[in-house]
Parts: sequence; C-alpha cells; structure tokens
Amino acid sequence: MRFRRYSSNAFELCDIHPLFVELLADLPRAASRHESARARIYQDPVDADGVHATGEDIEDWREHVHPELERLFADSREKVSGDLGDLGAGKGSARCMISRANTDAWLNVLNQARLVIVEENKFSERELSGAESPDLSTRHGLSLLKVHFYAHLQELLVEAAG
Amino acid sequence: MSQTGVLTDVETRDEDAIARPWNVIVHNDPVNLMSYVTMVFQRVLGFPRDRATRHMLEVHHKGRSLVWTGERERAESIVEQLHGYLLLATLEQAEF
Repeated sequence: MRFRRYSSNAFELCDIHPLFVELLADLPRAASRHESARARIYQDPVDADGVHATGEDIEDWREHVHPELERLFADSREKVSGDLGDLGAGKGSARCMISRANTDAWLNVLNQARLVIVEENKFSERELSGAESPDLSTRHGLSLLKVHFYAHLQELLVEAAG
Repeated sequence: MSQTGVLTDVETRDEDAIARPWNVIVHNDPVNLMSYVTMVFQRVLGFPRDRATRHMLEVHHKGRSLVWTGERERAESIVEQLHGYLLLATLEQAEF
C-alpha cells in the first residue's frame, strides 16, 4: 500500500493489497459496533470512585453530552464511508482519496474501530504492543491485524496532518 | 469608641470563600497511540508540541496527567472534547 500526500491537502491510499481493502471497507461497520465498548466510548466525567460528583452530575452528563458524542461519532463514520466509496470495486488496484477536511473524521473512526475491536477480543497489552505477529489462521489473529493496520493508518494521518 | 456591640460573628471556612478549582485528568489506556494523544493535547489544550509530549509521556509512564485546572464549566468542556477524541479523561475537584 502507498500513502501519498498531495499539495492540494488531500491524501491518497493506493496499491492497496486485497486483504487491506477488506479491512478498510469494514472500517465504518467495525466502528459502529459500540455496544461492546459502550462504557469506554461513552465515558462518565468522573472516576468510578469520584467522590466529588453526584449521581445527578453523571445523569446530566449522560443526558446532554453522550447524545452529542453519538452525533459526532456517527458524522465521522458517514464522512469516512463517503471517502471509501466503492473501494475495490474497479478493475485496477484499489485506491481511496481522503480530503484533508476529513482527516479528523478518519482519526476518530479509526479510534472507534480500534476501541471496539480491542473490547470485543480482550487483547493483552503484549498483543497490542505488536511484540508478536498475529496468527492469521484465527479470527482473534485477524482482528489483531485489523487493530494494527488501523493504528498504522492513524500514525500516517497524524504525521501527515501535523 | 462608638461601637455598641457585636451584631454578627461568623467564623468563615477558607475553602468556602474561594471556589475550589477543578482538575482535568487524562488517564493511560493501551489503545490510544502516543502520537495521537500528543496531537489531541495540542489541539484541545493549545499546548506547544514539547509540553504536549511531556504530558503524553506522563500519562504513559505514570498512568495519569493533570492537564488543566480552573473553573468547572471550562473543565467540563475540555473533558467533553477529550471524550470526543476518545481519550480517557475525568474531572476532579482540586484539593486545598
């Protein structure tokens, strides 16, 4: 896969391996499976032992802030889905253009997906550190590859957008 | 002297006289990338890169970093923005 940055402030992913095309195409769907990671994605504003917050504070937060976050996350997924378009549908090698205006949406969706997949698979810190190659013959290993691939994309975008 | 008597005599508590500020704490988690956390600190808190990096490393090595202190409404707004970037962040009332 190649990652290009253009003077027009757009980014391009091209020459994408078919396996990574699948992982990219799955990104918005993976990012939307919030139920398994709901407590992590929609946090309360205090620690579990937050002695300074009342139940009312937390209820207010859930009532007012969480819906705004849901809108932000859904909007980001929509933008990324738009950029992905018909990725891989053409005859040539797969490519995807990312407008600079959508960089934050991509970073957000990549993070949503990684959080969801990590919660679903309960990866160890050692697995997440990349110390071992994932076993691609298992669903667990494929999911770990997905987490690493999305992290790699995040690194590229953070560096390019910085 | 013309004073005729004490009308009120209340002992004040210093912590009531001064609004206690709120701290914004960012916590470590194994998912967020170091470069991403640094970028978020720059964007949300306006930190220059070296300060953002210092706080990111504090989160990474010590498990948490106090990134902002001040009045509650602004602290809540910062935590909301950090949650929007999916960082682990909480509010704590500062101790005297």
